[in-house]
Amino acid sequence: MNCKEVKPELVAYLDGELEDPVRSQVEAHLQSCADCRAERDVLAATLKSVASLPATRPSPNLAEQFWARFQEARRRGFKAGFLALFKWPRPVWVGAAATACLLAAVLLALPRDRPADPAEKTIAGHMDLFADYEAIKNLDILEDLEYIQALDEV
Amino acid sequence: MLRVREGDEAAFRELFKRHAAALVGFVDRFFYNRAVSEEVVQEVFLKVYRARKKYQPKSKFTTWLYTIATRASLNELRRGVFKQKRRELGEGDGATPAVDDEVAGRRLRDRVAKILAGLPENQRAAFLLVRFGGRSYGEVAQILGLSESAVKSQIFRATDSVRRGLEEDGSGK
Repeated sequence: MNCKEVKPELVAYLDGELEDPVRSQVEAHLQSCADCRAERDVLAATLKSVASLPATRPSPNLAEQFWARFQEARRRGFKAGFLALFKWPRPVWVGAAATACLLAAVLLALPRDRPADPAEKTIAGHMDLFADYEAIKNLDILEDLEYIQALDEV
Repeated sequence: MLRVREGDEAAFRELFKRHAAALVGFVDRFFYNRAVSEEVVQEVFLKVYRARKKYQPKSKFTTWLYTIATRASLNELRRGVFKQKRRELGEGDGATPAVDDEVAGRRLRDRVAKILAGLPENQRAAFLLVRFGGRSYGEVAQILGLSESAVKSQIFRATDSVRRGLEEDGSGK
């Protein structure tokens, strides 16, 4: 075996997962190759660092919590668990997906920067007139004001 | 497990007692949050009980158990639901109480966690199963549905990534 073939085998070698004849071939190569020995040592140090990471211990009440949950699940006939809350049944998923697709299609079909309606632009430019809406709504009467005033004089 | 399959609850209690702590230690390498990991482990044992009649003693019980645990953990990671649950469970920073929570150890753990989080799913799972689940390459192959040579390759790549990552920030030895 050459260096290129040996390097990918080194972690398995360190884990004791290589079987003969590959294991013997790797060992023979390591005896004659300082580079691969150095590589093996670095990988071994990495594995040692990882193995030194402290293990998480369960909380003291884990068993108590679990058996309470177990009894609850048994009462429900073991049909729904904690994580099952996040697993919707297929028809719900299908319905939700269809709704999402429909909504997306509608949103995509809408023009994003549609040209403004000229009437809307006019209204937007004269929003202050809405303060006098009561007067303006009778504008047609005001147009005849002179005529009405003349009638009064009559 | 054969007794559990026949409905022996005492045997199931024994299984839980024997494997729960180790499983929390393993699952926690996916989440780095004890509360979330315990939720997942509890759900795993409920799944074991629900599926007890389907258990076939062709492979070791632990292989079956770690298959369920790995799938549950990866599903949780994919959904990202655990992040929400982590907030709900009040451990927002992901800090897990450790045996000797020294600064250097915590820094190394966080660094390894970050490197592993960037790996492809199968690489990460294979690495965790071997390093923290105590599974052999053969068992990992069964659990992940891969060939042993593929597992060997995944574990080599993951280890090499960890080594390079630690070297980059000077945590490696």
